[in-house]
Order: sequence, then structure tokens, then C-alpha cells
Amino acid sequence: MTKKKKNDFLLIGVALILLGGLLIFSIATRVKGEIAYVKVSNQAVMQISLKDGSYVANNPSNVIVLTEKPEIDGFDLTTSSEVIPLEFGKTIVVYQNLFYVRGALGVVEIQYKENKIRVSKEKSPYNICSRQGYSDVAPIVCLPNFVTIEFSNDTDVIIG
Amino acid sequence: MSIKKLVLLAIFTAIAVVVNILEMYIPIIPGTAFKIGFANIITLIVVFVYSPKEAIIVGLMRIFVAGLLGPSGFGPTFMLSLTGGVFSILTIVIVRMLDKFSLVGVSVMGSIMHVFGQILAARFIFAEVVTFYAPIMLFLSIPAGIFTGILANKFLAISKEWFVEKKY
Amino acid sequence: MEMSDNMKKIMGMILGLALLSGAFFKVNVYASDEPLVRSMTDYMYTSITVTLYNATEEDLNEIEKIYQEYTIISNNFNFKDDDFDGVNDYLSNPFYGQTSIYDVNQKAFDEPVVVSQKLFDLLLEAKALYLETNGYFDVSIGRAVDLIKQGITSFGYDDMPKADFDQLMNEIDALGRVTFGEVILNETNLTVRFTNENVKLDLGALAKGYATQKAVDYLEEQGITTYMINAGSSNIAVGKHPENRDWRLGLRHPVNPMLGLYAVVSNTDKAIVTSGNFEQFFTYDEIRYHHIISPKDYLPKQYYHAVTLIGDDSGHLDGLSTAIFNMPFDEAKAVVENLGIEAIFFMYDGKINTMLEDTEVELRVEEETESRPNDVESIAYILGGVVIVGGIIIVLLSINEKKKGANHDKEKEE
Repeated sequence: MTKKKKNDFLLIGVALILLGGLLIFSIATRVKGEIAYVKVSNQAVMQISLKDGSYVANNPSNVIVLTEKPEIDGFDLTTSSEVIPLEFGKTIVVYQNLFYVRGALGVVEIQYKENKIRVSKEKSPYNICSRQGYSDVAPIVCLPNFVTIEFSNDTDVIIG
Repeated sequence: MSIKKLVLLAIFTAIAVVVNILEMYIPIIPGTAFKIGFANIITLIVVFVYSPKEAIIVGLMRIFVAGLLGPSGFGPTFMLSLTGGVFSILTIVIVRMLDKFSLVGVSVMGSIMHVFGQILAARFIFAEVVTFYAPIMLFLSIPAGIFTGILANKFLAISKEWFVEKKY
Repeated sequence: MEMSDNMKKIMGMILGLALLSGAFFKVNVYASDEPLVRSMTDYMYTSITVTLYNATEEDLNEIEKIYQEYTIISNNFNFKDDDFDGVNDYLSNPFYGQTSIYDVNQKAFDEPVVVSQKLFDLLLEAKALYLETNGYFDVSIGRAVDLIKQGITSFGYDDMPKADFDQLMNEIDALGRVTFGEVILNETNLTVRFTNENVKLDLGALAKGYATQKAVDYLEEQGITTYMINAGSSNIAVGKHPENRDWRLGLRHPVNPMLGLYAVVSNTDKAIVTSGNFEQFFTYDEIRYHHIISPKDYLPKQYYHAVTLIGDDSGHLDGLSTAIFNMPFDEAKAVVENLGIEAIFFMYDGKINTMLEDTEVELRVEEETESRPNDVESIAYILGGVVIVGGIIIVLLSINEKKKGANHDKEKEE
């Protein structure tokens, strides 16, 4: 084996040990989330409790609660009686266990079901974000829409 | 620079661009921009057959053209691929010049630094979130680098007639 | 390593058994951990979520009935009015038609109004709180509350223009004082009577907590000990936690929600109630005019941004938190001490005062906004730095190469 190849093996071995160790450590210290933080442009706009799907918005004046399921139409939501435009980083629309926020490319629909959260509808080049499925620990990242959902196990529920 | 060399480099760049764009459509780890890095095969070939100078030019051109033509354009995701790309190209060139490792080793270093650069950029642009995927991405960049390195080696072995690995 | 066929079979079976038992274990653990959850949005003008462990659908139904009944009887809106938005919710409510506060408000000055035992008991609780808090809790001031709420609806979260403000103040002055003392409750006949025609009962500050306490009472009767009831995120009642630890409740920062939580409290088998000035308000002259007005002068006070009480009776705490919100700190402290409850005060100036016994609290200072969103500039600098450093390294290395090459040539020559 040439010297260079030997060096290669050394390098790969060291890298595997270091990065593998890092990986194992990160998995071992991972804890299941209790609260989902929905962030738009990296600012948390609302928190959803994974225990019961209750939510607390950071700015209650921006929350609109609907009694019928809305349709997504570009950057707006439409119901049988009204058209609701959504403001980026502000408006939150809630219908039962569905939450709607405006992403950079369109409306993002977030669903809470059985202690987990997923992005159920969104507009983006490869729809990577909605394909991630339900999660209660791995953050859900919708890069193109600037919407992320992170989980923390700080608390079971938020009062306020 | 001979015409032949110019044409060959142009072809390499074009191939790299196409591969790069194609890779954008294949999500390996959902929620991240992790790629195997097949486009780096070209970078490796160029840096071993020609010289660092050519590798840097081909590499940077590839990043910019792919960014332009690709689906996300020059948005924040472009910053990610730019940072990752610059980190990996520079690493490949520098490690090559050190002349202590064979092609596979160079490739592994390059792919680790590519992921590192991407994560660094993502931390600034998208902050906290990305640290979740960082460990797995970094770890997987090792086999990815080995794979692309082996492929580059195979190519050089097959095309011994036309391209000779330069002794450094 | 070669394995005989038999060995392979045995290994296979052991593996299979292991996987199977693993699956069983997981399924079992999962099953007992599954809560029954019901979210209700039709009651008490808020969203109420009930999470029960080791319970049945029947239990959820019974709890829903409790909220249904109290929604109707504590209601003080005219839902026969065509403009009333929520009328559909009421028509489908099985308790629709029972005498409500609205009915009482209409007629109680003219003649005693007969109410159900449940509504009467609710009013008795209101009276007890009125006496206990020296009048700081007073549900008879409905007219003043209406005026403030109108202002909030018109100018919610915004500044109110001077003209409107002055008018509002005039209207409030014109109201004249009313107190709960002018509400006469007759226990034998279950009747309510007003001795002042300006009395308007508004149970908004009590009904939610009171109904929640009834729900808790039901759960305890049924032997359901692991639960959480979340009424509007301001009234929480918890039993035991399914994972055998305390429930952790995050207290949202009342001034700047971007800062996240200002504290986390942990406890079990408690009722927790929060009053704050951040839910509904308008501003005038830099002061938040929120919806918790003092019965003494009909104006909201600025002693606190948020008050959180922890105790054993959700209804009692609901009333107390409203009352305390309008008390200066010394009086509030005295009330908390006398009643043996726990409290966390987020003062108007930002300080936090706690009066806790067995509740643990984690105070959080302003959370650093670690995240720098969209800091493309910094990345550009870093990139530039890397390129420069990389370039220098490359140049140095190539000079090194040239030198080596030159030496090599020299050696060849020699």
C-alpha cells in the first residue's frame, strides 16, 4: 500500500471516530419534545403543546380562529364567507388542529395529531418540508418558505 | 492554454453544472440540502489532471452557473451551496497540494468541509434549527466522499490514455 | 466465521423472539400512554382542551356537558339578536333555554328572578369572593366592562385618540357606582334581585374557572387522577403527569412575547390561573388600558403585567386573580398569605416576585436571541475571509513547490 493510501486510511479512520462519536452523542442526548415552536423567519410566532394541541400565539391580536375549514389560495385563505389575507410573520389562522401561517412562497398548513406535528400543505420546489411527515423531535425545516418548527421539552403547556 | 485544454475544461464544467442541478432535486435527508456531491468528482479529476488553478475556476464557475440555472436561483439556498462549495473546493486544492493523501483522502476532506461550510452558512441564515441535522450530515459526508473519490479514481483509470494524473 | 445450519436457525429464532417481544413491549407501553383528548371551541368564548389518561369517551362527554351548561347559564349576551355571531353554537347546546345571566340582567331590577341551583351556587361563589376581597372582585359592574370592551374592540392593541378617550371617560363617570351589595340572593327561593337598576352581572372573570373546577370535581369522583384541562391557556388544572413527574407549565412573557417564557413552574394536582394585561387592551398616553378593570373606579390598574396564582380551586383562583390584579402589591401579598395560595407576580416595572411553597419555579432571564436570522452579511464576510486565507495558503504552497522544483533542478545539474 502506498504511503498516500495509508494516510487516507488514517484520515478516514480518525474522521469516522470523531464524527461518529459526535453523532452517537447527539442521538443519545436527544429528548422528545413537548412543545413545538413555529417560527417564521426564525422568530417564534406561536407555540403548540404536543400534549393536547393547544396553542399560544406570541401576539394574540394576529390570531384568527375559523369554524370551517379554509381553502388555500395563494397567500390567502378562503372560506365560504370570506377571504383572509395572511401577513408574513404575523397572521395565524387556526381551524381545529390545523394552523396556517404565511411562508415566503405561499401558505403553510401545519397539522397537530396525536402528540405530533407535521407540515401538511406547503408550496415549495420539491415539497421537502411536507414530505418530512410527523415529528416530535426532529425539527421540520421549510427552508424556501422560511418556516421552521422546532421542538423543545421545556414545558408541557404554556400559560398566558 | 491549448484549445484542446480549453474545450475539455469547458466540457467538464458543463457536466459538473448538470450533475449539480440534478442533485438539487434528490433529497437524501429530508429537511436538509445534503447531497452526495457527484459534482465534486469533476473537481477532483481536474485538480489531479491539471492544476489547482483550473480546479478553482471550474469549481466556481460550476457553482455560479448551477445557481443561476437551478430552481432556487440566487436565494438564501444559493448562499449555502456557495459557502459549501467554496469550502470544499479550497480544501480539495489545498489538500491536493500538500501531496500527502491520494484522491480518495482528498475527496473525503473535501466532502466533510462542504457539509461544514453549508452548516456554518445555514446557522447564520437560518440559525438554531440546522444544528439538529449537523452530526448526521457530517458523518454521512465521509462515505459520500469515499464513494465520489472511488468514482473519480475509476474514471481516471479508464481514461488513462487521455488524462494522466499529474505527479505533483 | 462459519456457522452451522442449526446455529443459524437458532440465532434466527432468538432474533425473531426478541423482535416480537420488543414489538409487544412497545405496543403495551404505547397503549397505556395514549391520552383521550378533546378540544372544544364552542364554550366560554375560548378554546378548552381536556386531556385525560385512563378514562373513557363518557368522561369527556360529561365534562363537555359541564362546560355546555355553564356556557348557557353564565351567558350575558342576547343570543336572539340577529347580529350575535355565536348564535348557532347556542342553539345546538342541550342546555339552551335555561335561565341565564342575560335573563337575570333583563328583569332582576323589576322583580326577583328564579334561577337554577347551579347558577345560584355560582352567584354565591361570586358573593363569597366579593366579601373575601373587600369588593375588589365584583361581578356587578357589567356596564363599565362593556364600555371598556367597546374601546378595546374599536382600538384593539392600538392607541386610542384623545377625543374617543375623553368620551369614554365621561361615559364611565356617568355610570355611577354599583356594587355586588346591591344584588340580593335568596337561598330559599333561589332568586336574584337587584336594588340598583345599573347593576349588570358579568361572570366572564369567574365562569371559566368555576366550570373547570366542576370538571375537576367530576374527574376526582371518577377516580381519574392523570389529566390536564386547559381552558383558554389562562385556566389550567392538572392532576398527575403520565410520566410520573410534575407538570411543567411555561409562563409566557407578558410584555415581549418574542422573549418566550419568563418562568417555568412545576407542580402536580393543582389549579393554575393567570391574569394579564396583554390579551386585550388599547393604549392611551403610553398606558395599557386592559380589560380587567377595578370595581372601585372602573379603570384598569398598572401594578402588574401578569399575575399567576396556584392553588386547589380553579373557580376561586379565577376570581382572586382578577381581584388581585387591581390590588396594590401589599394588599395582594396579604390576600395570598391569608388564603394559603401561591403566586407569581410579574410587576409593571418588569421585576418578578414569587410567593411559592411547594411549587418549583425556574426563572428565565431575557432569553438571548441567539438566532440571527438572515445574517447574509456575516456569511459573506466569513466567505471572504476563507477565500483570502485559502488563497494565501495556496500561494504559499505553490511557492513551496516552485522552490522544491528549483532545488530539484539544481540537484540534477550538480
